Amino acid sequence: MLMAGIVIRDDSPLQFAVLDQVLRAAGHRAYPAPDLPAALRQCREQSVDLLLVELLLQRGNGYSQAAFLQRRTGVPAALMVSRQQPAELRWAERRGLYAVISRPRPPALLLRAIEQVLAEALSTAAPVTDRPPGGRPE
Amino acid sequence: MSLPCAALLAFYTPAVEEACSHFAAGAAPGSREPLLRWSAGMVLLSRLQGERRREQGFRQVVRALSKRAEVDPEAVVRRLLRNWYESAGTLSRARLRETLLEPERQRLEAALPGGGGGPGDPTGFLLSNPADPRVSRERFCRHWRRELEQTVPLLGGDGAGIEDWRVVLHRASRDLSALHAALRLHCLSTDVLLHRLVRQALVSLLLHLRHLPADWPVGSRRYLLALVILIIELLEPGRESAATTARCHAVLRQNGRLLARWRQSAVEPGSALRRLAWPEIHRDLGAVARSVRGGDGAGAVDLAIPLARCHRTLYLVGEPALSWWADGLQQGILARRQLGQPVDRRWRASLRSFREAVMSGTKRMPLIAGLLELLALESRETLTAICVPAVGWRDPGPDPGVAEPDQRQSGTAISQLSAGLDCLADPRRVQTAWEAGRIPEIVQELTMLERGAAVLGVRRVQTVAAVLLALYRRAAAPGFAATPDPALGPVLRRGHAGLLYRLDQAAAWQPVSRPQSLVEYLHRHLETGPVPAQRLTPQRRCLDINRRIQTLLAGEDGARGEVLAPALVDTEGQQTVVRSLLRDQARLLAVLCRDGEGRR
Repeated sequence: MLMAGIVIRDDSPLQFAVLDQVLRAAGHRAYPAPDLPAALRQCREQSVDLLLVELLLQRGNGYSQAAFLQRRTGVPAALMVSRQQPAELRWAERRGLYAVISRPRPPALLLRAIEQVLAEALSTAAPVTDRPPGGRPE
Repeated sequence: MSLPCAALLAFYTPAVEEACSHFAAGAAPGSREPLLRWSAGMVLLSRLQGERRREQGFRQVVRALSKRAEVDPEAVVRRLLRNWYESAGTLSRARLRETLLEPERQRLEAALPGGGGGPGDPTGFLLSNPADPRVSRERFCRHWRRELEQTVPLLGGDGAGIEDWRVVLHRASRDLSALHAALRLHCLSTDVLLHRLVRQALVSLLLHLRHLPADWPVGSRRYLLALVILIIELLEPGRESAATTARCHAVLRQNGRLLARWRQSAVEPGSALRRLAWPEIHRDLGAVARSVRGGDGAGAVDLAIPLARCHRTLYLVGEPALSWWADGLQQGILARRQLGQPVDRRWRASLRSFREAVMSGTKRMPLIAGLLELLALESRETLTAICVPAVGWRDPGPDPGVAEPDQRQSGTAISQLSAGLDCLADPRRVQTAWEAGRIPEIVQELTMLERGAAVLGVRRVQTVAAVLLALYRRAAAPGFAATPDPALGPVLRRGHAGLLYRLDQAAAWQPVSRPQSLVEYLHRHLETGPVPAQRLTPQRRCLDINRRIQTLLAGEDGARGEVLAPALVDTEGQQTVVRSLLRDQARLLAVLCRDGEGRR
């Protein structure tokens, strides 16, 4: 797996630290984005391959922000949710998001799920916003 | 006790009492009342200084008496001494409490202020300024030890129990690991003096935590201080009823356990994760505890998110902590359910959202899910909300079960609604459809959404959808041009963005934002009919406003000209629009009055 740059949009420093630890151990680079402007700035300044956006944010919500970031920056955005139910998948699909990743889960499984999404995002040439998130292996 | 000893004790007890009463002749001379004699004996014993003197006196009495019974005096002394001490100890404590200490207890209880903390009690200051060096730990601890020694003898219960309480309280005042036991003590008893002692012990613990060793991370120290302060505040008497206090105990106990055992957690001590986890978990546990307490109405609304975040954080710590936390939550739910009334709609909605958010992770989760199902079944409106999508949300009939819905209950329902929203969920598709003149396509989806949101009870989404629908219908009215009005484009874009944002909020289990300003903005553009409002005379505009207010108050859908079913009348949106129209009318009337005066 290639080294990838991943922006993590989560207003919880703890959750960023967890993901950062997991991703760094696999050789990826994680960039924190505690708010929306920071996420935009990171996408502009760094080489970013994937956006991970938490659904439960203290200000705003994950669907809106992931859709906005994906549309504005062109970087595929994956939504981090606490469960993966058909309702979430369907709404994320309607909003044009790239993928939905569920957590919490053990670090190894979380890394595998992120890398699967990353591999698809890097290999695809099609516009990412037209790809539905449902049906991907989690 | 062996039989000879028991027989001897039975034989000698009156004699021992007699001897004691002779010793206490000054207190109760010649009294024949057994209770009084025994009390007098106990008073005497309590006044005797030192075990040795008491024992010597007893030995003399027993030796004298055992000679008459022709048994070995030493054996009798050895055996009787133990039994006598046991019985005398128990009885003396009970009698002394009744005869001597009760007035003292009454005096202490009367002296206790309602909100806790007396004039010399630094608790209040400490809670607001935990790190202030002016509060001396040594001075407070001296005060606390004195209070413990004075108050513990006044507590009800048997001797062994009181000794246990003393040990627990003493440990809890210095050691974090005894916090759970102290809170348990608080839960088990209704004694105000004991409650006060527990609170004082926690204040003392707070002062000890202030002086934690330097190897503790700063974040950990702050977290511990904040959590202990939270617990002390929640234990404060006089604010709520005993039932409310019982409600928060369950959660507090688990918080206490989490707090005490955190040091043995799976997260590596001193790591960045652990340092970051302290404030987060404190904030979330605090939100949950406050919500269980029921005093914070606003906290109850946002409970689902702290719960899910708390679960995510504790997942890092490992299974015991996660299970304790789940146990606390479970007890909180049960306590609320037993109390009946406090399990309000918002709480249920929050917990249901949380249950939907987290379905795995701890062993206790299935039990919690079962309890929440039970709560859901007890609620008719929740039942209705669950059943409606299955029956078919396109049914526009009135549904009294969702007459007063919660705006965040229908997160899943909105996601289910999304099956029909091909165009509305993507702003670019709306734009394309608008520019291509495919207005019926948008109108059809908006109609579906409005009806579906009305049936599911998400009124704020329904309001925005209804106003947007009215705008599209006005745009397609015969008086308007066949091609879309370019000036309406930005208005619709803003309207769709607002609608989409609210749909996202509902899908993410967040409370849906109030649509007042958006509705007002859209209605301002809705007022411009086939002739733009700027070209109408003020009199004509006033009449137009009057007609629209009349239509709204009659509960009619102006664009369709049909009377809406009562459950579908959107009172919130209606009020907003009427208020906005009345403001416009007042402005116009002011202009008219000014013009009239100018003409005169």
